[in-house]
Amino acid sequence: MKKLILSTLAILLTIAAALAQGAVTFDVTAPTAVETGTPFRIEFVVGNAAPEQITFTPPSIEGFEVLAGPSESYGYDLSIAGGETVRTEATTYTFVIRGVTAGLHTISAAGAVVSGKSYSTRAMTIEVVAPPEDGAAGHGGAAAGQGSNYEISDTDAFLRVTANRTDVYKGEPIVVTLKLYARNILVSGLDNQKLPAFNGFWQQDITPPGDPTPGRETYNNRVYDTWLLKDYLLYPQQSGTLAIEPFEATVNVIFQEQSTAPRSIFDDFLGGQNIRHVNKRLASQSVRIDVREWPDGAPASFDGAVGEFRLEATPPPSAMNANQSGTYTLRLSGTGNFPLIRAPKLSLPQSFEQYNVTTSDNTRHTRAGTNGYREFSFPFIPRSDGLYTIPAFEFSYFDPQQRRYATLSSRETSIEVAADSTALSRPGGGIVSGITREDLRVFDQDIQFIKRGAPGLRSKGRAFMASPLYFGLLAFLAVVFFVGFLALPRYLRNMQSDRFVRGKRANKVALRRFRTAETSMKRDDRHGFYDEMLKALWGYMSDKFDIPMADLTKERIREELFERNVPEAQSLEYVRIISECEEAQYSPVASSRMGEIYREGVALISELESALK
Amino acid sequence: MKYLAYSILIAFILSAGSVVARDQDANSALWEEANAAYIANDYASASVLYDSIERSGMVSAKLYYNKAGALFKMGKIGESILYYSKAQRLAPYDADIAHNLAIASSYTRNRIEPIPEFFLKRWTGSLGAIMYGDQWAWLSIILFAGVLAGALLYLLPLGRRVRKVGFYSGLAALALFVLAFSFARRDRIETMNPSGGIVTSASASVKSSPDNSGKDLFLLYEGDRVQVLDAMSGWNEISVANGSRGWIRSGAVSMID
Repeated sequence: MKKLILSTLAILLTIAAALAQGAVTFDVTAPTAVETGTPFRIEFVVGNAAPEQITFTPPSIEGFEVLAGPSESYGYDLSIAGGETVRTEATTYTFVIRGVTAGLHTISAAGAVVSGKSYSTRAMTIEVVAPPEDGAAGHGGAAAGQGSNYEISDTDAFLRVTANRTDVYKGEPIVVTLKLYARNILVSGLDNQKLPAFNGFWQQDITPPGDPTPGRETYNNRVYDTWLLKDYLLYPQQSGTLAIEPFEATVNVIFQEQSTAPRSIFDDFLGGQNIRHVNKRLASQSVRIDVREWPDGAPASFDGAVGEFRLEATPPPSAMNANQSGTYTLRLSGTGNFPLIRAPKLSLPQSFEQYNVTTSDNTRHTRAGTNGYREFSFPFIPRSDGLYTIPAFEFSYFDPQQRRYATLSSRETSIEVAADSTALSRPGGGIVSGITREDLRVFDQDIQFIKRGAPGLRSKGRAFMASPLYFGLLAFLAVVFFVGFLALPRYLRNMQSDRFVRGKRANKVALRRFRTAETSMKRDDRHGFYDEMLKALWGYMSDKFDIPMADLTKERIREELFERNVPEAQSLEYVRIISECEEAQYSPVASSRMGEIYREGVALISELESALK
Repeated sequence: MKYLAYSILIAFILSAGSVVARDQDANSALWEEANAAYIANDYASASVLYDSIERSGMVSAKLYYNKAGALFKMGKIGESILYYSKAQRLAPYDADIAHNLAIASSYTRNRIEPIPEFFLKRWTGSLGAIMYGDQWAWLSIILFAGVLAGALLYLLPLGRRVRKVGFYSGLAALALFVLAFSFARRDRIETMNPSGGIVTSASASVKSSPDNSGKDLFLLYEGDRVQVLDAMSGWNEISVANGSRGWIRSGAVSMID
């Protein structure tokens, strides 16, 4: 039992300890804009501290009339979330003050010392405006509905479309804000919103999530409650003056009905205040944006990127195998019109098979533009081995701040592709089996390269034709012709007569040889005799018919004799004697026939000589 | 005395030869230098160097071809076409020249459709282009020798067969001689008085009469080829491949010489 009490106490103590913790905060809340004469509150809130711990040093409030304060209040809140008790407490010091003169007035920082530590708030600047004269009549919450029969005047509620910039370059970000302004009336809703179409712009809604953000602004020297309805990030896509169409919506306002009849006491008692809803269609002014074209002199690689970028290239490994896939990655980071940047073109070697570019996006749209990065992956497969070079990739953008173009480039990378070792073992994977024939692809045309080697120069404007040399050569040929024409006939005649003489002398030559043969016969020189006989017989025919010895045969002799009408018997006899001589020349017998052959030969030659006359 | 005369003659021949040789040496040095500049993509200085060879009076199809290439790379399309045309005149059947001329011509603005020529004219034209003029001239001399030889065979008292051969071969040689002679003659006329021209100013209007008040007939652009028919005080009468004719300022046209 005792144990239980002790443990309960311990738990309570730990809870108390837990409750005591929580960082001290010190903040100020005040409207940013007020009208002169209207009282308003400034609150200095010290969080997580009780009043007895705080020594508060009030700020100096100049330019305002302090109506009350500082008044101190204290509150705390216990909440249990996720099994844990959270205690929040706050001490608030409130001033009620009133603006006296129009202008910007500053309330200096207030100080507070909590448990020996000092804190301070920031200084606040409050705009005090003097309301216009005509507005003075309708001033005050009740006055709005009084004279106007529950009508909403144009100064009480309106819509505004504002752009943070109206003079930009193409592709430079613009933030367009749609706001509802209201004063002196109670707005209960906004229906049938017709949002502008933003023609000529790329748009992105960057409205903070949740309900419209309330605020306070001065406009035309009046202070309005405002609601931020939409924030758009726009990128102009064409140059020229672009108009943003009016924003239209129906505002719903609640008026407290004031009956002209005397109010009975029961009305109030029964809470019978009548509420009247009034609708009004509102339309904003249209906004004009001047969009400037980019200046001249854009680099070749410029493709509409505007902003400030960095380029990071991740090349594939420098050594690969054929048929192994690789990726070349380009990461573009920075701030700019990311949504409008297209995938760039990467020139990979032609033998690389390229696949579709994959784009991954990691960007955020903010009021300053779009920032983050966009990554382009270029997958490819090298199909054949070799040393390849991927040229440096260039990316250009326009920097609107500095009004100039900038070019980023990656480094040139080289890849050594080794032959695919698995190509042959894998069915259909190798170059050999997987080859497909293609037409020769022509990428571009250019002139052929220059010719080298000897130039082969000649004198210009000079022609051999009709030159003195040309005619000279023709004349020379003509002279040669005439000389030939005159000289050749006689030469030919001489040649013919030479042949004639030889024919005449044939008999004489033959007889001389016969005589030599006769002397050989007397010396009984058989070999010499037949030799001389053959010479005489062959030689006679050769000389007679002008046939070289080498071309002479027995057949030829018979033909020649036949042509010249010599009797068959004589030509056969002639051939027979030659044959006999040839046979006898080398045979040991028949030496007795020498005299006979000699006589026959001499007789035959003299017969032929008379026949061939 | 005789010795002296011989030695003077020999010295003269040698010195004349050395002048020619020195000229050739200078030109081949310029040629190598120009080619090196072209290879180093320095087209402007390559063009200047080719030009200085041309100014020495020595030309060749190769020289014109390379200079045209340098001009093309410098973006001077009209002049490039002019020099390719000059190269083609010297070497009509060179495939490289024809290819580059076609590419350079594709950069011209006008697309002139040539009117088809009579086939015989076209044939003789392409036959005449097989060789250049000097070769035709030499061939005509050889053929002339053939004619005379044939005549000699016919006229001399030789055998009937030999005389027959001489007669017909001489006749054939005579026909071929006339052909070669006329081709050589035509080439000589074109060499001495070139008639082909290329428009080298950016654009030039062709007028109906040789003065500024003449009607504008059509417009020619840089690189267009024209045939000059007549010339008259600063004006040239020209015809274009499609048959159109007119007068153009002579400064706008450069001759293919």
